[in-house]
Amino acid sequence: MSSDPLLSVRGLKKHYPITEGVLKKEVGRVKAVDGISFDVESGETLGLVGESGCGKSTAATSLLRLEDPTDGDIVFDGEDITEFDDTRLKSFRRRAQMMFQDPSSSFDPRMSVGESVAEPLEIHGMRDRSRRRRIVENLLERVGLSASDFDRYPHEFSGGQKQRIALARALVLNPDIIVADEPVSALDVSIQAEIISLMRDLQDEFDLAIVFISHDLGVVREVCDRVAVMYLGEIVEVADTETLFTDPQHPYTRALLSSIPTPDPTRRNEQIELTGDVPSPSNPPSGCRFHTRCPEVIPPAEFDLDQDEWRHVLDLRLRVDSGLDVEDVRSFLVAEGVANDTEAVPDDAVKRELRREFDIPETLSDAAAETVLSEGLDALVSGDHDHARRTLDEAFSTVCERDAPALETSERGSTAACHLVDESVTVESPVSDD
Amino acid sequence: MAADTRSETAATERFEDVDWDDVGGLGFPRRTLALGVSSLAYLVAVVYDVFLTEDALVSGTNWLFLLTLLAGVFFVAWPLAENRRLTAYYWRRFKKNRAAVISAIYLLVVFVLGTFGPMLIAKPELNVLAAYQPPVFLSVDSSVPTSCVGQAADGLCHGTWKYPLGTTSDGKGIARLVVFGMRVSMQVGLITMLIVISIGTVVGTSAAYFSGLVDELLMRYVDIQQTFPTFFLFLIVTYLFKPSLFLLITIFGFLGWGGIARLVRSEALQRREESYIQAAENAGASDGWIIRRHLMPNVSNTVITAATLLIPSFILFEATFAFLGLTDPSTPSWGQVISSGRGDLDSAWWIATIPGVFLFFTVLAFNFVGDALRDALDPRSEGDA
Repeated sequence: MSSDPLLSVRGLKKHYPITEGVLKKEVGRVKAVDGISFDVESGETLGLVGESGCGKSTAATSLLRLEDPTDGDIVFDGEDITEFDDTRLKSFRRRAQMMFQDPSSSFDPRMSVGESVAEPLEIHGMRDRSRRRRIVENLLERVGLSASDFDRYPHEFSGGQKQRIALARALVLNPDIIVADEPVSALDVSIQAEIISLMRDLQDEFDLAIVFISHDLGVVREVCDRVAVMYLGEIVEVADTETLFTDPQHPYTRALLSSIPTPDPTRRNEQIELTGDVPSPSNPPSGCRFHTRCPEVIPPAEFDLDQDEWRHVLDLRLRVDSGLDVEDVRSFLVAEGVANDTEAVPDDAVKRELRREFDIPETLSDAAAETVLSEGLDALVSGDHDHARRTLDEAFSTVCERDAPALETSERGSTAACHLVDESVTVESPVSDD
Repeated sequence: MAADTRSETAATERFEDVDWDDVGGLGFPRRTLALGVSSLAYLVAVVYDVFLTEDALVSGTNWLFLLTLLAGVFFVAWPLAENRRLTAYYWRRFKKNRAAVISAIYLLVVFVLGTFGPMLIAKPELNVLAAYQPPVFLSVDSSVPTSCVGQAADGLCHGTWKYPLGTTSDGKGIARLVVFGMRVSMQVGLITMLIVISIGTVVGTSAAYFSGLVDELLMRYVDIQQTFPTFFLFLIVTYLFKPSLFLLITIFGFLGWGGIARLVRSEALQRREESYIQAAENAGASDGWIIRRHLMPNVSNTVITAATLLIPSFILFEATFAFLGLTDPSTPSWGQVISSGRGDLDSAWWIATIPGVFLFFTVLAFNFVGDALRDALDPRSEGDA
């Protein structure tokens, strides 16, 4: 094989249209996967990690063309599989297999496991029933089961055993690559280790490439050679496993890594807590998609704000953008006993409550910023929502929101999509960066 | 056992040694082969009978019945025999229901008698002299029958073994009529059921699997068909043509599958989301393969249960039409006999009652069996076994 990667994904997108009415008019799109690119070398394990709902599984199914991708190229062994017709797709299927997360639903309850494992052989034209049986019996033994398990049914096996059988089914066509979608997430930790070591042994034996999808960073560190971190349908960082775990470049990666429980009690408060909810993929944030939650979001150059303060101010601003109802705050204060009815709540109390709610100190450390914030809050409390919004938007904007960062390769060999990685450009002159 | 293992290792084949450019060749599973051969033989026989003989040797209904039996062998009996452990498992669950086991035995007797009986015994003949004979062991006032075939004593006419279940007003033996009626009931029930579930399953699984436009077209057609008054169509057609069992079966079969299609679709929609379907897609299986090998077997529980509960309704339809005189008078069916005996209920009660009892128990038995099958096959209760 040449130096070309076995699998090369470029700008893969999978959007699901949201339709309305009888005519199925498209009113929006869920951008489950929105332009991801990565390479997988043969024999390599690439990890794909991210929170639930970030598009990992959709990436898996579209890169195998189980769902047709909306856009992008998937080059497998030098050929673009997005252009394959049915016949060539079928021969591609022989070389790329998938393992599923839920061991209980990935086997047809009406077929013996032997038949299930042998099914791909039959589909690809091996008509000799006894030959199929010999191959599968041999394979079942090699994944740690016995040949006599051929005739047993899925419900007679435990989850770990079923994942062994799933591995056997993925292997039976002797593929070059296996896409494993959370293969061990449904299993006990001890069983996880067994399956992982089995996967590794088989990978070494057959020079398999594996795309390993998981939300469990511990497992990923164990298994993968390289890791790609996904957030809201995009890859935010790709790096060698060691580099990624020791020197994460992207703030999101750092947050993810800090969420791994550590046994060391002195290090517990180093956890980075992400604020806010994961935004909806049907309406992803502009610029860097992580800016709504990023703890290291870049402050505007004209203010000298503490990073924490800035994050909280930005939280408030984004809430005002998405529609913050001051009346709710008033009602809340009435319930708290500050006043008897919403009309009587003093404006100062509302402002205090808003600052408390968003963890903003009484006065910001930067005087200029404090002036703007006060003006914004005044407008907000007096009911002039538009003015508040304009004031805050003008002053407290960030480069993270305006520009989508490209994947930049740092000198350490990791590739991250963050303005902070290429600091010289972004922080010094945020405006000229357009 | 040890020797066994060794001889197996000698024949070991490893998946990585398969040369994929070199696989292929012909070799079908035995069932497919047998199915192909018998379908071919069946087709040849039907073509010969329809086009090459003056008078059809076998009636259309009987051809359809033969087809139903073939389908039963290949799609029910054969898989059950092949997967003995699964069969044994279902049987263990089925036999928990005593009433259903007795019902199944009763239905088996009715089925065997109805299928083979009419080949062995003659069709009941008109015989005015033997009219109104009571069943054996029973007696009736001598004034009721025109002449008593059995023993007449003390002004009573006793039943005779010549007519074990008595005779009708035109002297036909009720025992024979009941056996011929069994065939009619079994034919109506089973053939209509076969037509209904074949079309219903194919339509339902296709709609669920392909979704989108296919789903929309198929299910909207079903909606339209469901509003169609089958009963009136049957009346009109019997008015225009000679009424026959074949007509009844085809009309109800080809217009009655809407409910099953809906049921199958909703079940298949759930199955379609299971990852074994995706696993098969990922292995390169075609749409047809997935529908045939994964969707259909996994909705079969629903289909089998619904089918068992559909059969009695078709049998009752036929009995109703026969009672109303809307069927071919030369085909002896239970409904017809009940109808012919309804005027003589006070003098010769057995004419209407005996076929009525058979009809009642047949319908009841199918319902019992259907219920027990649902409990035995329902995967949702599989956990407690």
